Amino acid sequence: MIGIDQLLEDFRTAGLQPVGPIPCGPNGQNDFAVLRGLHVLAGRFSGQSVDVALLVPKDYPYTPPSGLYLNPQLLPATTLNVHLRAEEVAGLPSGSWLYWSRPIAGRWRQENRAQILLAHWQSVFADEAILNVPLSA
Amino acid sequence: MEPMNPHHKITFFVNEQPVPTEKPELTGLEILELSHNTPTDQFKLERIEGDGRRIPIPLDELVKIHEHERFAALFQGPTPLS
Repeated sequence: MIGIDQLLEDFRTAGLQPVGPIPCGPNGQNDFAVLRGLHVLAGRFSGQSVDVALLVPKDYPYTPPSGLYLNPQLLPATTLNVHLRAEEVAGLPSGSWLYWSRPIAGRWRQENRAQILLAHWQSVFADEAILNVPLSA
Repeated sequence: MEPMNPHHKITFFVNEQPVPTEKPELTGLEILELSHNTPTDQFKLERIEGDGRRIPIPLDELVKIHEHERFAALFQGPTPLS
């Protein structure tokens, strides 16, 4: 198995309930998966629930997902490598999606992939660098 | 007082993932291993209190495990940006 089917299987094996595949982008060429209601454990936004979307590479798990797409917007676009990528996410469930460019690359391994992604996301939220970012652009 | 059932199962949560155990006490290291957050030297562990406070748990520290207790397994070091 490869690509988004493998990612969905990884999440389901870990007891999560991903939504996908969701074709997005101008030609529906982007395979997205969404995890709804992720509880932020630590950091500035602790206690909030967010939806996380992932653009899944065709050769996942050999290539990990890049950053994460978050709804709702927690930080304004253009701060700390947070971007609006409206065209790329066209097709995701309605919401206010922003891309957080936080690559997992150096942390990626082939075992326990769902747990690695969850730990990476919680580490992103706990990052002290976002503590002092103004919440309005 | 009745002795504690040695096979009593406790479920705690790491990054919101349920982790069952029959041991009433675990080290931070064991919590990371049981929750599949390995290799453990890449992680730090925090207990999340009911009011949101974060209590760092050293990996060699033995902690009592309570039902539905919540922990965060976080990567060591700064979050990479691209």
